[in-house]
Amino acid sequence: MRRKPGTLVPLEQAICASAALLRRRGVREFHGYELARQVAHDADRRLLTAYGTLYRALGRLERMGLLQSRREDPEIAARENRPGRRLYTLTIAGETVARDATAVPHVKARRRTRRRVAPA
Amino acid sequence: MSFRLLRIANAAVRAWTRLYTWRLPPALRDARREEVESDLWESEHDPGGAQSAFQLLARLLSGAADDLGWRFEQENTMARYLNLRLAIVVALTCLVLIWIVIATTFSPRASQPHVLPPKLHAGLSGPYPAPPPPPPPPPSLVDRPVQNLPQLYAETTYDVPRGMTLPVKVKDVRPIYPPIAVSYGLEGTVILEATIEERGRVFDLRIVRSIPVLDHSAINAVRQWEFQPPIVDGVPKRVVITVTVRFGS
Repeated sequence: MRRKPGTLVPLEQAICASAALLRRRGVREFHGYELARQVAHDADRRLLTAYGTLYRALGRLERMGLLQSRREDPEIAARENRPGRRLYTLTIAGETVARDATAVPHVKARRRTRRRVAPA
Repeated sequence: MSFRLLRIANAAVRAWTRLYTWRLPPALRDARREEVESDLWESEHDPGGAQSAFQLLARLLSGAADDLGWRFEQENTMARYLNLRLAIVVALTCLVLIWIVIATTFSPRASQPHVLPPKLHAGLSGPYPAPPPPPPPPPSLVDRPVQNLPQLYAETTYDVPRGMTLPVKVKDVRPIYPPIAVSYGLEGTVILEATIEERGRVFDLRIVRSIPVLDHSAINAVRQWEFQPPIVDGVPKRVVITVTVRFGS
């Protein structure tokens, strides 16, 4: 079944929530593996999100404007002798989504009412 | 053994990534491959513990459908872009073809010399040209059977301004006296101004005195004339001659 445009699947909500958590810890920019590790940690799972699922979801979130990405400076990667990273940042819209996703829904207490008795 | 399995798992992830990004635009292809390569490196150098071969393969297999889905999305985007480009190219080609058809339909024929409209002031060799006669009434074929008339021609003479040498004509074509003009007894003199180029051919024709029914015949004949190259001061030069074409007695 096709999902409605603008809606997020649970994985995307989890990505936004994990990204917000990383941001609160001071990690403003993160790469895909770091995010996958955080998502797995938050969901208490050992197995990280699959490559195809993760990067496709990241691309979709970027198109929706909830994430921003940039390519890391190749000199930094060359200096550290590793492949270049693609770094993602949560946008303000993404933070709003993350906040809404992590908010506990308020349950209104049900008021007990007396049953009316018909007049004699 | 586990290290060997890990290497095989890494190679499998790289091979799968190369496969599903095959023949994508370089920007897309390289970005995806670089991202997966970075993921593999980060996993291998994770301080919290590298992923095992099993975990790598599990991530690979469980995400294979999404990898293919991503590829199809890119192809659809490329196809829409290519369709748009193709539509633009087809539209421009149609516009160019329409323009060519219109231009060739309404442009003057290039084979004939350029004929300027009649001069409005007095001509070189005569008084102010008389107005053309009114068009004749429609013919009655019983009274004037055009097909039985003999082929007649007009008489021609040509002249140059004073002081210039008259060029020698080497090819003469006599103007046909149109049978319809003969049948109506239409007579008159058409005066043309012809420019002879260095090779002796008629380059440009200009009507000085016009008779509508007879102009065309005079022009058709004179433009076929050829002359010896006109020499002025030992050098071939263009010469303007005045041609008088007399139709009738």
